[in-house]
Amino acid sequence: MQIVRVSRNQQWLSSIILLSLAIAGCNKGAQTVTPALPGNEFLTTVELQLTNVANPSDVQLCKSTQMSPTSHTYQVDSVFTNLAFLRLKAGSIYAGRVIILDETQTPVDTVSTEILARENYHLFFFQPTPVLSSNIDISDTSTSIPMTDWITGQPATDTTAFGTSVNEVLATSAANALNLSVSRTDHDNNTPPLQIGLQDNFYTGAASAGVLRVVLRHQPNAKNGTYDPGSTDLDVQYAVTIY
Amino acid sequence: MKSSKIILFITVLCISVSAFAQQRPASFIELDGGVSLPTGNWGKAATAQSLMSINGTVNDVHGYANAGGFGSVDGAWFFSKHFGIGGMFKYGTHNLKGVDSLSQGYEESFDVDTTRTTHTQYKIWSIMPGLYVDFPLAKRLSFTARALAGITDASTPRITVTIEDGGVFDQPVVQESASKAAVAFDGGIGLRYGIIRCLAIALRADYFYTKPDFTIQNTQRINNAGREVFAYDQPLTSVNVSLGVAYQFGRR
Repeated sequence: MQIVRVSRNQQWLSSIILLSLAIAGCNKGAQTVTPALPGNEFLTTVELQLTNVANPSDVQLCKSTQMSPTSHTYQVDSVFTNLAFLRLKAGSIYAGRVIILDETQTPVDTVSTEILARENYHLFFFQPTPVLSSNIDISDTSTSIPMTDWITGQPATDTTAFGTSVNEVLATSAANALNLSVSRTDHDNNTPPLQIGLQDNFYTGAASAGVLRVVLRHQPNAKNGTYDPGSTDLDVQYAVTIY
Repeated sequence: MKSSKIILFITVLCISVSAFAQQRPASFIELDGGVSLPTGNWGKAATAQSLMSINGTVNDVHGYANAGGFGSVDGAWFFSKHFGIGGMFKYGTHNLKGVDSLSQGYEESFDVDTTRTTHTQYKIWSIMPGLYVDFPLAKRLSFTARALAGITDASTPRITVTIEDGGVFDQPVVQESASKAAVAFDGGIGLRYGIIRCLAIALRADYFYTKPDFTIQNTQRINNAGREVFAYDQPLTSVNVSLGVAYQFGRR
């Protein structure tokens, strides 16, 4: 066996080197969680304002609201649909606007202007039913709601205006389909621009009746034109009659 | 009164130098560890309000660099009574500060319930040769200074912001880490005290400067909103305070 003699100076030097190795910093990640901020506004009322392109005096306004028409207070579990209906002329084009209000504020806060400011991650969908399955178009420019997210199985008592069931169903034939289609006409500031849906064109066909469901999707850093990403900010229904 | 104190200090310094600088200072190798305090925009954090951008993205000049730690090895050989040449190898890291405001900026920009921000650290390597100066003040105490110029390789942290709204986790926002080499400068002063013949301790303060001008990749950015930094061209400057142990050659 060979014995290696180490001088005192060499011992010091070795100690210094070992000390220096201990100095090296470790590479650790860190996480910061920022919880929700208080003060988000209510979306109490959703109005559709439709103007017949061929006849500007033909203006239709419908409203779905959670403000009680009697007490004028916000009702968290109730929807008042006495004005939630549209009467549209057959074979027409209506230029439409979606207006969202917070009627708990004084004066009333127009939330749709904030939606417009935040257009890069908001997208509206419009689903008329009954609809022929051949008319359901799921794409990044379509306003259709995927059938997997349709409202089905609700009790017959769950209705919108005129006692119309909220359940969304396929039309069994062209004769019982609601002859309405909607296309968005406004675009956001994304690259490339994507549609928004605050401004739309409503195309009516032959006389028919049904329900129009309007959904606003909030898709932060996820908006790609399709329905799936994100969460739902509002979901309302209107009874529609085309005459 | 003040000027007489200055004259007295200079006189004492000159006497000390002449009394104890009869031979060249010992060459040394030194191991240091210390604290690095970022300065300038690199060491600042933006407010959440200034990072809010709902219809387009917003740039950010702030580096969010927190005080960090570093370790270094340096050494010098003295060719005259006071001057020598040497070099330093240094590695340091800086965690981030002000991440909550960064996180909240994304939260307000995207109008969501919660954001979770995870990040790695700044990492900086540097190799810098240069000039070393040593003025003995007393038998065991020296005033030291150095001016170094060399190369540094710095990398920025990877920042991932997870977005949750209405119970749904959306696409996270990712600012990728960027790496770049650049010229660096270091200037510092300090004191060295010999505790035994071959060993000394050193206390030093340095100013470090580099400007790598990073190009930054952002991935998984679907929509134009919130903070998005494509280039970080602010200088990385810091004041470094260190304590070290030096092995002095030729002193037994």
